Amino acid sequence: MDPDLPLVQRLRAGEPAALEEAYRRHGASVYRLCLRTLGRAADAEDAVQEVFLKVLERARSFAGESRLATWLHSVAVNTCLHRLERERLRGAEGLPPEGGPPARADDDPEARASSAEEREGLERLLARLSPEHRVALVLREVEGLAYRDIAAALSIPVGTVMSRLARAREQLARLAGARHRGPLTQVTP
Amino acid sequence: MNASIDIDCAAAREGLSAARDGEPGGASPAVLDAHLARCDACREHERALDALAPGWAALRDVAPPAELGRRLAERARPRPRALPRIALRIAAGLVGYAALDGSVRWLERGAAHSGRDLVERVAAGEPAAGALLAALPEVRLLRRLPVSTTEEPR
Repeated sequence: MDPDLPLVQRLRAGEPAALEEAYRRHGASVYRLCLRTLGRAADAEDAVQEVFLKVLERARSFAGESRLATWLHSVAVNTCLHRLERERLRGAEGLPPEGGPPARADDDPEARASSAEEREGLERLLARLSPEHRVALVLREVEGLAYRDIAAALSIPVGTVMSRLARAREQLARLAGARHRGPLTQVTP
Repeated sequence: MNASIDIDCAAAREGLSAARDGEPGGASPAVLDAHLARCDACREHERALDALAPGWAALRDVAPPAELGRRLAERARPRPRALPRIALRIAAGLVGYAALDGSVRWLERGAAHSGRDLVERVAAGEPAAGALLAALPEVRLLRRLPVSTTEEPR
């Protein structure tokens, strides 16, 4: 059973405090997903607010067939993909990805620098993937969702999740290999 | 499945991807191991993915800005409902009517006080007085007032 069920009932009743509680429980996860999908912190912050307000607005019609976390991920993915599509139609150029603030301050400057380097390297690789591949990888690798939950969030069969993740990793490995060998322009994604 | 059965790289990578995530599906571990033992490209592929592990860990260590929750709460706070447009139109109509009514009364009062003077001024041929007198029946029509019995029949 979904541990968030009482919270869902409070959301259905339109309690503003319930929205704050939902944000406290799932805000970080939704933010990371939005940030990795959209690439820019300001866009991710706007998207997060849009996601939670949509959830409050639609809570009455939420059938409760999936868990609240899955529903939030689903709304977040659709919101982000919609924003990216709007940007594409507008012809806006994507900016380099931004890291976002770390969850905790690292006392060791060397470890902090190394972690930032690893993160930036991976962010650059992720930015070169298609949004669908990026979302699937983030849901799995960053949020740790099971295939069943990714399938529910993306409204696709579990088998498609498996093949999509495999293809995304294949592309990522190729890009990572090319990064160590030479310029990325030589890569055929 | 028999480990001696080889699979192609695409099938192996799908199986390896699922195995990395601890999910069932794809080829058995024995078949995947056998493929890796034979295939340099797939071993290289797996090494490249393993090398990204610290990057993934760093991405997990990201939190939203502290003020984002407060901004969301502000946006979610219910606001007083705006008056419906029809109510605004009715209010504007009432104000307009009151203003017009006041103007009409003022004109009438003015006309009554200076009625005699006005007639005298019209008789003297003053054009402004004539215009004011001519306007009075129009104003009465606007207010739908009955024509005064004191008025001279035309």
